[in-house]
Amino acid sequence: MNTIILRTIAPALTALMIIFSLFVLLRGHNEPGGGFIGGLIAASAMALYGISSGVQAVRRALYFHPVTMGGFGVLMAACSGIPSYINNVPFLSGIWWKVPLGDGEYFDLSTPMIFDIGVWFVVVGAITAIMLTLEEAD
Amino acid sequence: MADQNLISEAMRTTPTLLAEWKILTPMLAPLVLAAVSLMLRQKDRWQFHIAVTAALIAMIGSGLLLFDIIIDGPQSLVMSGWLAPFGIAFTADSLSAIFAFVASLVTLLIILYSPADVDKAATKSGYYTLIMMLLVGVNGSFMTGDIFNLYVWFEVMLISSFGLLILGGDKIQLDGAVKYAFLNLLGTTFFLIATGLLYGVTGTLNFADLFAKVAASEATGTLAILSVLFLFAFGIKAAAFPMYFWLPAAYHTPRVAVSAIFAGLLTKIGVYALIRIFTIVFPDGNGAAFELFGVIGGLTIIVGGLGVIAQTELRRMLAYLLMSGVGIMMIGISIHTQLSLMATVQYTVHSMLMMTGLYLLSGVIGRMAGSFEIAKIGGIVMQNHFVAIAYFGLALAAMGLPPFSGLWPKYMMIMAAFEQGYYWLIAAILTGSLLTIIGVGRASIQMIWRGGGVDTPDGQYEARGKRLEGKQLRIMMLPISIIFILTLWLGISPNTLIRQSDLAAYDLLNVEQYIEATFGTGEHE
Repeated sequence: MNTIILRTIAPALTALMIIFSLFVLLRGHNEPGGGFIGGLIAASAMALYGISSGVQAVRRALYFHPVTMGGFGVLMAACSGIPSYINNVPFLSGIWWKVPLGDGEYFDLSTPMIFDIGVWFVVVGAITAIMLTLEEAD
Repeated sequence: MADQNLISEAMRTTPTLLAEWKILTPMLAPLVLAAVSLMLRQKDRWQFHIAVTAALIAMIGSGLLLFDIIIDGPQSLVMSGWLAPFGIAFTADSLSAIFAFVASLVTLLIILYSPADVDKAATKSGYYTLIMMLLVGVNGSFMTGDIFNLYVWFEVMLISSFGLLILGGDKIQLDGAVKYAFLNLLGTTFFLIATGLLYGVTGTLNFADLFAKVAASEATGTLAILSVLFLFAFGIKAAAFPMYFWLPAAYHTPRVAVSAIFAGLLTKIGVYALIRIFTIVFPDGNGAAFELFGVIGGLTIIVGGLGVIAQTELRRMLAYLLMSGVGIMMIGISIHTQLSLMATVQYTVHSMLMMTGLYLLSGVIGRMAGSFEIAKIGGIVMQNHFVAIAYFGLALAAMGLPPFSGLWPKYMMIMAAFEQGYYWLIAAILTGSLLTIIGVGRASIQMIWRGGGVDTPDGQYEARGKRLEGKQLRIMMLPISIIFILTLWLGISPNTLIRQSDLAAYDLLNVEQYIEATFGTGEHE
C-alpha cells in the first residue's frame, strides 16, 4: 500500500480521525459515543498511519509504548472510583464538579468522564499494540 | 416528592463507611498495581516488588474482612450507590473471605518463589502483571454477589491464565494451551448460556435475589436442567471426571511457578462456584444434581488415584493428585450437611496450600535432577536433606496421613458420609486414598531413597543432575518451608481452621444473613 496518494493524505486523515475520536469520546456521556467506540476510531487512525508510513513512524508518533498507554488507561479507570471514598459514597459513584467558565457558564467535570477516558486509553493501547505486532511480523 | 421516594428505593442515601471499602481491597489493590507494573514493564527490577506489595495488601485486606465477618456476619457493598438487586453487588461471607485470604497468601508465596524461576525476558513480557491480574480475577470471583459478574471475573482470570500458560512460547506449551483454552472456553460458554437461561426464568442474576425467585419459580423442569448445566460448566473448571482432560495436558507445560498458581487457585474457583451456586441458587439441588455430584465426585477420586499410579512424569502425577482432591470436595457438596460442607471448605484450603507446595517443590526436584521423569530422578535425600523432608511432609499431607493437614478434612468427610449413610462414597474416598498412597509412595521411594535412576542397584549412590546455588535454593525453599509449616500446624492444631470452616458452612446453609447483607447494604446504625 505504498502509493503516493495514500502517503500524502494519510497524516492529515489520521489527525482528523483522532480529533473525531476525541469528539466521540466526550460526546459519549449523554449521547451515542464513549470511550470504547472513540478508542476504536483512534486505533483505526493508527492503523491507517501504520499502513501508509510504516510501524516505526507510528511508534515514534505515539511516543509511549501502546501497552504503557493501556496500563495507564486501566489505572485511570480504577482510580476514577477513588474520589467516591472522599465523598463517602460507594465505589465508582458518579461525582460531578462544576468548573465555572465565567458568564454563569459551567463546565461539567465528572468521574464517569475520567473512567471513559481510561477506557479510551485501554482500547487505543491494546488494539494498537496488537496491530503493530501483526504489522511487524510481515 | 414521589420521585424522591422512588430514588431512595433504588439508590442508597446513607454515607459509606471506611470499613465497607475493605471488601474491595483484594481486587482493587492488585488491579491498580497491575496497571502500574504494566506501565513500568521495562523496569524489570521493580516488577517483583510491585507484585509482592499487591499480594500483601490483598492478603491483609481479606484478612481484616474475615475478622469483620466473624464479628458482624456477611459484608456487602453495592457499586455506585444503587441498591441490590439493581446495582453490581460485592457480597462476602466467611467462605469468600477465607478463600480470598488463602488465595492471596498462596499468590504471595508464588511471587516470592518467582525470582528463581522467571527470567528477565518473561518479566518484561509481563509475568508479574499477569499474576496480579490472575489474583484480581480469583478474588473477584470469591467476592462477587452476582452470577453474571462471576462470569466476568472468570474471564479476567482465564485471559490472564492464557497469557501465563504461553509465556515462553515453546511448542509443548502451545499444545497444552490449545487444549486448556478450548475446554475452558467451552465451559465458559456453557456457563454463559446457563446464566442467560436463568435470567430468562427468574429475571434476576443477583445471588441473594435468586434465592427467593428460584424457590418461588414454577419452572422446576427448566431449573433442574439449568442446575445440571451449571454443574457441567463448573465441573470443567474444577477438572472433575469426565471433563478433566485439559488439566493433565496443560499443567506440566508452563514454568513451575505458573503450574503452582494454576494448581493452587484455578480448579478451586470451579469448586467455589459450585459451592456458591448449589447453596444459594439451587439449595435443594433441583432434582438429580446432588446425586450426580456424588457420582462425579466418587469417580473423580478413583480416576485421579489411578492417574497418580499410572503417570511417570512428576508434574503430571501431581495434576492427577490435584484432580483426586477435587473429587473429595465434590462429595462434600453432594452430601450437603454442615459437617460435609465444613470438610469441603477445610479440604479446599488444605489443597490450595499443599498442591502449591508440591508443585513448587517439583520445580526444585526437577532442577536438581535435570528431569521431571520420575524414573530418572533419584538420590534427593543424599543431595539435600531439606528438600527430601519437605517432599516427605507434603506427600503425607497429600495422602491424608497424620500429622499433616490432609487427615482432618478426609476424616470429617467420611464421618459426614457415614451419618447420611452414603457407604459407597466412603468406599470411594478410602479407595482413592489408598491409590494415592501407593502412587505417591512409590514415586517417593524412587525419587528420594534410590541412589539414582531406576536401574541403580540398592545401596549405591550416583550423583546426578547439578547442585543448586545456595542463594537460588534459599529463594526456592522459603515459600516451600512456609507452606510446610502451615500444613504441619493445620495438622497438629486444626482448631483454628475447623472453627472458620464451621462458620463458613453455617453461612452456606443459612443464607438469610447473606441475603440480609446484600439487601441491607448501607443500613448501618
